[in-house]
Amino acid sequence: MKDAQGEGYLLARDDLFDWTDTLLRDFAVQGPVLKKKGQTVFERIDDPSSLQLDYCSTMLAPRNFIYPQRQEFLHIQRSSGQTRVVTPAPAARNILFAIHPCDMHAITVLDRIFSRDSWDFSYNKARHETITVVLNCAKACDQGFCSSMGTGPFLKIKDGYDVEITPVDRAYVMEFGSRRGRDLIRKAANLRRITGADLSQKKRVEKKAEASFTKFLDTKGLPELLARTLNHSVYKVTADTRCLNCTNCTMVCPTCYCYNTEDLTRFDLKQVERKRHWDSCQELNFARVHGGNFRSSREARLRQFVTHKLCTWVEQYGCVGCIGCGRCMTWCPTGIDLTEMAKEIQRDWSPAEKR
Amino acid sequence: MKINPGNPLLPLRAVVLHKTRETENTFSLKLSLPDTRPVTFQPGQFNMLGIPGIGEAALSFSSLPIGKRSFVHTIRLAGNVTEALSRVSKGDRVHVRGPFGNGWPVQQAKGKNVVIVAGGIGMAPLRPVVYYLLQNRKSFGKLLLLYGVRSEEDILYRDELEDWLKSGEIKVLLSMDEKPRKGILGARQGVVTTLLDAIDVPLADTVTFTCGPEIMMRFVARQLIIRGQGGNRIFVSLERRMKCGTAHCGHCQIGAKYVCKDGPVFAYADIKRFADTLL
Amino acid sequence: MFNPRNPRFKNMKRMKPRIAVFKYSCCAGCEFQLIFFQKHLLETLKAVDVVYCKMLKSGGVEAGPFDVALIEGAITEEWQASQLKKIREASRYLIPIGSCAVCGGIPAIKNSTDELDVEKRVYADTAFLHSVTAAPIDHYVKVDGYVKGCPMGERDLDELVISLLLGKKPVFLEYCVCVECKLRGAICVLVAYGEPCMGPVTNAGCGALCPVNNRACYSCWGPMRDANAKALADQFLKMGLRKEDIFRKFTEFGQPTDEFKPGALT
Ligand SMILES: Cc1cc2nc3c(=O)[nH]c(=O)nc-3n(C[C@H](O)[C@H](O)[C@H](O)COP(=O)(O)OP(=O)(O)OC[C@H]3O[C@@H](n4cnc5c(N)ncnc54)[C@H](O)[C@@H]3O)c2cc1C
Ligand code: SF4
Ligand code: SF4
Ligand code: SF4
Ligand code: SF4
Ligand code: SF4
Ligand code: FES
Repeated sequence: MKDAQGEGYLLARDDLFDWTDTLLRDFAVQGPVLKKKGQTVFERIDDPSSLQLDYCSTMLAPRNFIYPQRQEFLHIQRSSGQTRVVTPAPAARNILFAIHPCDMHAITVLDRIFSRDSWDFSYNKARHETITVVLNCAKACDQGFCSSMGTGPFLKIKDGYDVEITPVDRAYVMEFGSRRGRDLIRKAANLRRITGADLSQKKRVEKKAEASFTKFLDTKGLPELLARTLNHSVYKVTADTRCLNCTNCTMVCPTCYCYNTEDLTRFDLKQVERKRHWDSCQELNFARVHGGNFRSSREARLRQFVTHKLCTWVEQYGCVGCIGCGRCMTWCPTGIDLTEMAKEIQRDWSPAEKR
Repeated sequence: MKINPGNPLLPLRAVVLHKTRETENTFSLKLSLPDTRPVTFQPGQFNMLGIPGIGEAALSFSSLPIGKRSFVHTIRLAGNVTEALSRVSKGDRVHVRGPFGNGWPVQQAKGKNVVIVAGGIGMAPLRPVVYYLLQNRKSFGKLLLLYGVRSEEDILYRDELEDWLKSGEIKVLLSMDEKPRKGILGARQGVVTTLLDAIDVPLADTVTFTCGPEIMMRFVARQLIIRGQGGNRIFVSLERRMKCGTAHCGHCQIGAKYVCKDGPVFAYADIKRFADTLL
Repeated sequence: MFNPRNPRFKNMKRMKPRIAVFKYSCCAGCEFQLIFFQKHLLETLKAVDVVYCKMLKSGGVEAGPFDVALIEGAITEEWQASQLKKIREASRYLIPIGSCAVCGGIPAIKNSTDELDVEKRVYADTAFLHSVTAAPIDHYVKVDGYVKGCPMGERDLDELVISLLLGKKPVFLEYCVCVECKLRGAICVLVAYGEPCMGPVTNAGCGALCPVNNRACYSCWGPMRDANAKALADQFLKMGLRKEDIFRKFTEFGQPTDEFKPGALT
């Protein structure tokens, strides 16, 4: 719906705040905000000037606005067994504002998971009600390698998002991926239609952004390679010497979707809240059943993370599970880096294959 | 049945019609859905049974559909949910979601011999297959049921086994870890793999269905492959931790497969390539 | 673990669960915590029978029988150990509450000093004292789960009481503080600010109280099962901590437990 029809607008840099101000009237705008000690987090803004548009990946991806950490999804009357679905109700419609392209891709990956094989009510309801405004990246994040994963630094998908913003010289190119997005853009004053010149300027910014990457991952043949090197020593060595099984890697990963459920019975013993919360394959009991644990070793748990992201995901969903945001390695207390593990396996195997 | 297709996490309430004690730690619940839609499911599929405040557990159907909306689950005590299920009585209600999973590929077995290898509680998900094979007896070649238990007390569905044995439609062989008393279904002492020697049909023309402890299925499958059966003709039913049944919670993953969606029944060759199984 | 079908208790009448609370060497903070949870306690007291609890009421029969015995504090004297064994006999479930009872806690700090020196340092007259190395409850008797924390945490205590009322086995948290930390969206103080946080090896239950308040976790909940203490200690070394500091981090709540030994000895 964008380039093809040449639709899109140009908004002067200074007018962006006014536009955001307009949005604040009708929506809950969740944007990147700079906190003390230099951390950026996504939170609801009430003043456009608190936005920090030039930011590196936040610790938590904005996925929690659609798929929250904890969520009651069913309410049960214990005596009768009567159930009521608990509907996630955002107070006002959420706008995820200025999210990075990689995080937008991650949301579309979650879409496949929660709606392809079967329909997750809570996720899809929140997803449907959430408007996404993507801000293309003018330069690479510290640990990002999205250019290797085909998810950045500029948006690579054609739908699933609402607005795409690109910073160009003293202005923003505003494009849309949905009718909802177009209507949102049109709320801005002082818009003008983009021209070919604007688009070639956008291209130049993209080229420059792409040239700024320092971290790469060669994904060609990687899933197949990982599938036949399940017993590579890198898993055991890394797991034993460095992995804490702290789950941070998977908790910050924007495409991780695993959850656990629990029944919370209130003290009156009448009401039961069936809740779910993010879970992680790095957790000791994740694969425990009566009489055993299928991933009792730390090695097995670490391998599950790495191979799920870079290998088995492809067979499951037709795309890799890693969008190259660099969060897992940034927020791992011991700096474990799945690209380094993949590269070590590639190093060990490529000479033999060339022969 | 496809309970609540709109929201597969929302359970329906089923009425307990009947509770049968099977062994010291195993019992069966006959459930009925007070719903107008008829219940349909395949042998090998499973439900999530739930008790409010306790949680849910994945349990295979141990019967074919009975009438329009009844079915049986056979349950071994393992923890909180199964303990709570053991405390329900006739007339009580339990939560049901399902059916989930793929079921045994009985169509692929048409015209072939079928060997069924069960261990312990693994007999439960295999019982509906036996029912099905006997109901459609003409579509299949020779039928063999090899069943391994620990002791006499652990034999599930003993009356039915005797009936099947007497009918002559299916060959039933029993193995027991303990030394069996004489005359119990002709049981011999040993693990279930010792019964494999009794298979008197050409394996190349045979489909095997097996369910039991994973380590048992490993030995069964490997033995059969050595004896000439193809790994894609051996079907195993696997157990993993399950929270959703809808391929969302991630717990039941084995490599690229979700046991709740792609399984619980897998071709041995297809699932063995992944890590974290005992196969 | 829990076995409600234990034949020894089969004939016990089904009535309100009888609860006893025993205190050994500790600050009594856990018992206080128990009483402090008033909003729940009032409701709970209607459903359970607290038959022995020194802080709550006088009297009560020490000999039991009890449905649940909650044990607070570490064992530091011989008489405590022999009483504990009797309580075990008389109780269906026995559950240590709080870090002292779970893993030695504060009393176990003395364990790296000679016993007689410790006695002399505290008491003028040591004639009637038979102190022993401070040990957690499960050193002497079999336990049926742990309510961890210093003082014990609300989440696991709630789960225990509710489970008792529902007749199920309580599911205590068995993952590390980092999980709760991320579920609450707190910025990681270890990674972002270089604080030596013990969260990755510490059992959850507190709701990541310290990191949420921008402080490093100091492991008051005690070790998480299967913690990789060595890997965290190595990371602390890289972050510039001295070996003595690291030893202290892994022994702040008692002598190094099995999980923490590899970290303490780094
Ligand atoms: C597809 C499928 C079909 C099945 N069919 C059948 C069937 O037909 N019949 C049958 O009897 N069973 C069947 N099972 C197995 C059944 O699902 C489990 O036995 C059941 O889920 C146990 O649930 P529970 O709540 O009773 O036990 P849980 O409370 O879940 O406990 C199970 C075990 O895990 C341990 N455990 C649980 N949670 C934790 C934790 N957080 N930390 C540490 N340990 C923990 C417990 O101590 C216990 O040993 C099937 C499983 C699958 C996946
Ligand atoms: S964040 Fe690092 S240490 Fe923690 S589980 Fe993941 S890889 Fe292991
Ligand atoms: S695996 Fe790591 S780099 Fe890849 S998407 Fe997840 S957090 Fe980002
Ligand atoms: S990496 Fe682990 S936590 Fe993340 S989606 Fe895969 S299995 Fe789930
Ligand atoms: S602050 Fe501490 S508890 Fe929280 S994630 Fe970081 S290391 Fe874990
Ligand atoms: S964060 Fe650590 S030190 Fe703080 S309360 Fe929790 S367990 Fe105790
Ligand atoms: S049971 Fe949740 S993914 Fe299979």
